[in-house]
Parts: sequence; structure tokens; C-alpha cells
Amino acid sequence: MTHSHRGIRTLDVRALTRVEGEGAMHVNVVDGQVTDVRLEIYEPPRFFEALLRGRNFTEPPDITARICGICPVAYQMSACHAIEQALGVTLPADLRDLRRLLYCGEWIESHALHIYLLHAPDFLGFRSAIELARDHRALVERGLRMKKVGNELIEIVGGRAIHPVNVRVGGFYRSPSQSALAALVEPLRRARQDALDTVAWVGGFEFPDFNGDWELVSLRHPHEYPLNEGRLVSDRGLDIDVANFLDHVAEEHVPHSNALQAHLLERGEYLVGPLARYSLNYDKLPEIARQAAVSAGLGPVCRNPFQSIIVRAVELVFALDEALRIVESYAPPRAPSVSVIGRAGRGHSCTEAPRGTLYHRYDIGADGSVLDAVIIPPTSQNQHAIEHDMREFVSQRLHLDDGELTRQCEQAIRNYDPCISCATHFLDLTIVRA
Amino acid sequence: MRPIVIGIGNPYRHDDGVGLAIIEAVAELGLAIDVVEELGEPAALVERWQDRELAILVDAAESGSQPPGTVHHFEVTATSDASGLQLTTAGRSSHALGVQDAIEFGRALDRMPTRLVILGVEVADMSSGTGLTQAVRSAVAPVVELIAEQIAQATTQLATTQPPPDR
Repeated sequence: MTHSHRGIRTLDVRALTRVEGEGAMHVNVVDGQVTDVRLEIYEPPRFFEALLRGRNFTEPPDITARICGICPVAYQMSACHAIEQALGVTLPADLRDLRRLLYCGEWIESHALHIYLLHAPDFLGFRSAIELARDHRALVERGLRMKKVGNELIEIVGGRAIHPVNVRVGGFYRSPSQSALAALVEPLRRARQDALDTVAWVGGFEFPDFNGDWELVSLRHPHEYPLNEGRLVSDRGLDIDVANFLDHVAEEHVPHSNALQAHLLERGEYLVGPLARYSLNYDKLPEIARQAAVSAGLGPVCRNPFQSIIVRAVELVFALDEALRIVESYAPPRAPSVSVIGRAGRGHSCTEAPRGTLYHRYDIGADGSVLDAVIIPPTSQNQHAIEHDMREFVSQRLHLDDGELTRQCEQAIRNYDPCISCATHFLDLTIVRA
Repeated sequence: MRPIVIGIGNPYRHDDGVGLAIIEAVAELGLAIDVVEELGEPAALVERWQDRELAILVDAAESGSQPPGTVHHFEVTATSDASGLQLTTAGRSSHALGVQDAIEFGRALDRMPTRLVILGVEVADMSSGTGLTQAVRSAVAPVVELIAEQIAQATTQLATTQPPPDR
């Protein structure tokens, strides 16, 4: 919806399409100057933090998995790692690998969905994935094939595809059989080829010339592309233990949104997610993924949010390659979990959700109950950066009519794959009697 | 393939959890069907219902014009919305691509079930918290019964028409 009154131009996009959840964007233009850009896109998990208090330390992985439908594994992983740290538990390498495998499943599913169903239609001039499917069925089938492999990984390792039930503090309830995972080798190989083809395909799209100047923040691990652990680093010198996360990140209430927006203390806005991960861990990508990036014309650093579609495709290659590596060398662990005993402690964890760094902190009491929980999802960390970019983006495009400007803004917001509010799933019905 | 019942919802949003409460009860009936939870994301829905003779989807619904607990019943095939009602998800579904998009997506890919039954229970309270409101809770048992009837009918029809085995 748009309104014009003298020199004042207001652009309201009440329901953003093809972003995860519900959201709205509000842009104010006065006399040719963008005066205000507000995103109302995120509901923080405050209800869940309150709900967790008093629960047993075993419960947060299952409860927090409900915060986001698209990335339940990320919530389970951050919860498990933080609680295990609080309780002084370390997992053996075989269980660590299994967790990595589960996380790969979620990356595969989430990235394939975003690239093919949410993002690619923008670049090809289609209004939706449905139109894309009608005209380019084979392409969409390729995306769905990869997504299905991700689903199957989550189903086998996580116990079921939606809100996995097999994850626990200390490991898993059951470890998957060798034969169940062996059956995935061929589908994973095919999907890895599909991912390579995807990189080549999206690398050929046309990208607006646009570069963000935010600080890039991601986990970094000495030996691997980050999923479950590492130090939190940035391209401007941040290098901290995740236990010190809240010493460096501050959340503030903003009046236009339920959201708490995060920023780096005395540094400002920052971006987490694929662009940051890729740019800070390019040297940790497997050769096959790095080669694909080079062939698609991507340098070792990418600051153009529109090109995040290529970065996601490169990360798809990584996740499929990593899953294949783990599956091919898999032998069932000696035990599906290590024993964990409740005791007083505080633990922190950051893991890399498909959309970026997800922070959890738990205080556990002597009786093993949760005294306090803090959860900071990637989208609340990115909100400042997105608003900043949208201000610049709109300023450069004020010559466009409202319809076209709105369309381009929606496309630009989809670059960040924001997770808006995955909290409700209901049908909003309009009934038209025939 | 055997019938599938798909539940969508979030148990931490009061009445939004009604779809899950229903599939939990359906699963306890021990019928020869698949019962799964989904999020309403189209690609996943299409994957679940393709190649099925009968798929039943249960979800919370908000028309605003009916009292809480009202059961909206739609029937959709590969080519028509047979009930004469139009279902829109109006961008309010958690994934802006909603159930209507899933149907269109399924049609574009020739991945629709022979019959898709959509049962939406009108909600009252979608705020954060657990537990269904009284009116919505009262709708659970009748919907479970309705689902059992649909499955019984479909199974009888399958037995009489003797279709080929699972594709």
C-alpha cells in the first residue's frame, strides 16, 4: 500500500511474501530523502525463555525446536551444546560427527528451499515458485530432489523430519543403523552434483551492484567450515570465545517492532549468515565447493546480498559433500549418548543456523532445573543491517514508481532470508460462496 | 499408497496446536494410514501427499466469520476445488507460501493426491501459551471421527474398485 501527500511518500508493505514468516516494511520518503526505514519482522523468543524456567535441563532441546519450523535442528544444537557446557560434558568424536550430519541435513533442506522456491523466482522474473514450476519444471524438481535428501538425513538421524525427537543433551536416543545411512550415499552423490549445477545456474543470474558495509560475523573453527562450534570472529578484528558473546553484543528494544535488535557494542551493525560465514571461512571450504565458487565468479569475500543466492548454493555443495564424508565413514557409535547429570552451572553456545549465528545461554540450578535462558536468533542480529541496507537501496531507486519499488524492496529483503515469525501455522480463510 | 493424515500447527500458540492434537488422537486409532506433522511449507506438503488416493490435512483456521470450534471442510482434487469454496491463505500462513500455494505447486508439478480433504478448525486464541480453548478442544473428537469416517469410506471404495497396487 502506498500513500502520497505533497513531498511525502510512504511505502507500506504489509505482508512480505516469500520470506519465512510474516513481516512488514515501512519506508518514509520526505522531499526525495529517505527519512525512515522500519522492518517489523521478528518476534523474539521471549515466551520460550520464560517457558524454559523451572524445566529440567533435558527439556530445552525439544521445546526450543518449536521456535522455528525451518531450523529446529539449529535450536536443538545450540541448546544441547550450551547445556552440556554448563554441566561439564564433552561429546566423543563419533557423536560429534553425527550431530554435524544432522545439521548438514537442515542446511541442505533450508538452502534448497530458499534458493529454488523463495529466491530464484526474483532473478528470473517469475512472481512465484509456482510460476517457475510451470515453466521450468525440471529445474524445480532438481531443487526438490536436494531438499528431499536433506529431509531424509534429518528423518534418519533426527528420528523424524519435522521437529526431530531423537536429539538429547549428551547425544542421541538411538544411533542410526549403518544400512539406513548407506542407502543415502547415492542420493547424496546425485544431490552434490545437483548442487554444483545449482551454483553454475545461479552464478549466471544478473546481480545489482550493491555492497553492504556491515561488519561480518561468524563462527570460525581451526579445522572445518563452522556448524556446531568455533570462536566468534569478524572481518574487523572481533575474535572471542562464545562465552563472552553478551559482553560484545547488546540487544535493544525498538518501538516499531516486538523485536529486540542486536548490535556490537561500540562497533555497530553487523551481519551473520551465509555471506559472513563464507567470507570468514573461505579457506575452510572443501576444494569442490571452493572450485564451484571460483567458477561462478565469486571471490573469497562476498558483500553483495543479492549474490547470497550463489553463496547458499556453494554452502549446499559443502553441506552435501560433508554429509557424504560422514555417511561414507560411518560406523555406529559405541553408545548413542554420554551420561549427563544435572548440577549447577552456566553454559553458552553459538552454532551456525542456515540464517546465521544462533546464541543460547542457560543457567542450571543444583537440582538440574533451568534457572534462566537467553536465546538470540540470527534474524534479530541482522535486523539493523537489513534496515541500513534498505535505506541505501531505496535512496538509489526513488525514481521508480511505487509498485516497482515495492517489488524490488521485497526482493532485496529476501536476500537475507529473514526468519520472521515462525510461530503460527494457521490458515487465514476467505470464503467465497460460489 | 495408503491414506495420509497431515497435521499442521504449533502447540505453543494455544489453538494453533489443534491440528497436532487431532493427529495425535488419529494416530491412536491404529488405522492403516500414515500420520505426520508438517509446517505448511509447500514442497514438503507436496512430497507427503503425492501418489496418494486420499490425503487429509488438518490445521487451525481463521475466517473471522465463524464461531471458534467451527470445522471448515474443503475438498480439492488435481483440477478443481470441488466444494465450491475458495480457500486463500492471504499471506498469513507462517510461510508466506501457504496451503493454497502448496495446492497450486502440486498441480504445476502433477503431484496432487486423487482427493485432498482440508479440515480447518476455527480458532479463538493464537497467543503464546499451551493448551486449547474450550470451544476448540470440543472440536477435536468430532474431527477425529470425521477423519476416521473418511478413511473408512476410502478404504471401502478402494476394496470395491480394486485399484492397482501402490505406485
